[in-house]
Amino acid sequence: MKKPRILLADDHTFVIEGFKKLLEDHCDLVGAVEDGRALLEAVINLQPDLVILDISMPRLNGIEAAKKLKKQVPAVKLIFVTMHADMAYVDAAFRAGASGYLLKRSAATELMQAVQSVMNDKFYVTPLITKEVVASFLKPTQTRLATIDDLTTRQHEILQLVAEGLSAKEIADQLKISHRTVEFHKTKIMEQLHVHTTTDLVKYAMAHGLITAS
Amino acid sequence: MRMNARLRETILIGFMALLLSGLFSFDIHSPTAFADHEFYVIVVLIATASRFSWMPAIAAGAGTVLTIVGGLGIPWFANLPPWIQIGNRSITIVILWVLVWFAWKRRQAETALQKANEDLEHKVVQRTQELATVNRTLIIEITEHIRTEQALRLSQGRLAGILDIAEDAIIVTEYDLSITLFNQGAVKLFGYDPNDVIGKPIDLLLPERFWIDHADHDVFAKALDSDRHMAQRRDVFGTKKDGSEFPAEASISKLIVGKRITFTVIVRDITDRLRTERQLQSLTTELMTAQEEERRRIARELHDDINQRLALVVIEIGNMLSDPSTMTSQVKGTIQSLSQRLARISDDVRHMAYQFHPSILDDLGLTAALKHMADEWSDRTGIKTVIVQEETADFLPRDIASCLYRVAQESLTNIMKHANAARVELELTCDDQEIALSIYDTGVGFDLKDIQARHPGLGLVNIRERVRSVRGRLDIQSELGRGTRIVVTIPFCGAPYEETTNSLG
Repeated sequence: MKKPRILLADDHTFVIEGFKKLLEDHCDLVGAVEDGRALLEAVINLQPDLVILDISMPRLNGIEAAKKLKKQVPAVKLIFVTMHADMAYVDAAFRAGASGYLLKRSAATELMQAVQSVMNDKFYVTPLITKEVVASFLKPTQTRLATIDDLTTRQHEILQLVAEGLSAKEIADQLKISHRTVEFHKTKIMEQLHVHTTTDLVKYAMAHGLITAS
Repeated sequence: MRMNARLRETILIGFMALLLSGLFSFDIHSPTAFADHEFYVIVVLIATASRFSWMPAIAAGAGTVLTIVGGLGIPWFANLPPWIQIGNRSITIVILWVLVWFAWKRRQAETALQKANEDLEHKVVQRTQELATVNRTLIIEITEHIRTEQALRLSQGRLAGILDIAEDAIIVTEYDLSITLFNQGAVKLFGYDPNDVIGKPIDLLLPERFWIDHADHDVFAKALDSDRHMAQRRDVFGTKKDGSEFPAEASISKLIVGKRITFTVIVRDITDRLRTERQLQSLTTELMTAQEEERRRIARELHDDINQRLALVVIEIGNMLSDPSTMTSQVKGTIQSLSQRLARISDDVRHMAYQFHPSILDDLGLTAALKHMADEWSDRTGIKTVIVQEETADFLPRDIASCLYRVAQESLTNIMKHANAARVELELTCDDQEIALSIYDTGVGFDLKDIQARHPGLGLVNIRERVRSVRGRLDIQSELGRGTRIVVTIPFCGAPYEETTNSLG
């Protein structure tokens, strides 16, 4: 099998040195950069198969860099190796287009394995955080449909006014907020309640007694 | 004196009696034709010299009696007819009484004159007394006047002294706003000599845009609350002689003396104060930015340096372990345990770093950071938290993100401590111009006036300063028993800080 071409991105040179030792026997290390902007340029210039990157980086953080990279060079694979075990980070990383996520403290044992998985078009998440990942799937608010109780007071007002047949502009005038904000809330409500048309929204409001059919 | 008068009277009476008896004996012994009884007149004349007004009458009475008795007593001479004798004697009697009458008249006139004299004297005395009284009063009045004048001069001197040493510019105007007094403070502040401005309208000291419409010159009077006679204005400007303007604080008081109304205007240059206020404000902002930066730096130091080094040690240990030939199983076990301990230390350091500065804000952005905070807070407090967020603009300036994050953090801390809320709603919305964060809780709420009059909580002060530092707008709505809504709106390109508070409608 051809050695994967790998680009390293971390603002700590000693970490890069560490990774190099771990990978140099099995991979083709095409380069190393220390911030997000340099990473964007390097990817375009060096065309690596895989980027191993940190999240906390100067100038442009790893998440933002990943989003841009995925737009510019969709084929490139990304593995985050970071200090952050928090689900918010994991979530953000995968949403930004990551294929792998590991923690620095387990990098020595897992990095090579992660590279192999990702190069085989699989995803890799470090076993250190799989418990939290699963827990986040099981979290009730994440799975069940939002109810009327999950709407904020403002969303409630907007839903009511939409159901009463007011236009976004009229609602904006009445609530003294911008037209754009009303649109945002309306879209958000529909998203939260899993309804797709204004008619469905009105039906929902009626079903929940916000307005009465008359 | 009295003795003399009595003596004189006695001598007079004695003399008269002597004369009467002499004359009588002379009368009765002299020849009938000789009318010596006529000499009784002398006695009456002497009697007029007496003190007593009745003395001439007594003398005349005695003369009359003696004349008659003399007439009867003397021997009648045949050669003379009796009617001559009777006629002579009658004439004497008449003369005597005429004299008495004259004497009495004269005495009366004398008495009247004396009385008039006495009256006059009395009047003179009275008048003199009156004059003396008037004089005394006058003297008292004059003394009083002099004293008052001195006091007035002293008080005027003092007033002038006070006016002159007063740092503030003190200007007194008539009702038509023409200047009548211009103290040293005013001279120093405005650069005019009093002679330049006395009698001129006060407009001279104001920038053109503040000129007082003289068709409506009681604007000052209107500006004054009729009860308080005092008005204070902060947003005014003054113009110096050289034309330069300065921000001022003016207090205007109306003084009514009789029908005359004057205004006293005390002007204070607040350039320095405003500068100090601005400096203080920018210092606060700088301080907060510096604090945030320092926390960020410490957090980075802990997280990115120390923690990465720890991570590296762990990586290297791992590397060592992956080569089984290098060590015995015992050493391996020890190293594994060391590695685990290092990992724990690394976790602790990461946690510590997060306390200083939430790196999530830099790494994942405001919405992720707020969501993370809200979820974590909700788990910790058990309070239902609903969060709705609009994806923010690509590039949200770091200070704005920081501000909103910290405001949310402070608010949630306040809610946890004081609100006793069942539910919290966070909304983040934005458009091209501004970004707004609303934090609403269904807790006990508070009385806005109350919290502002007394010491507002440190949380609220922090929020206010943070919002001010990014030139945002803070809107606090709260009412007892009806929860609290805090809305922070921050424009992307700075506008001045604003704050409103009101009750929940």
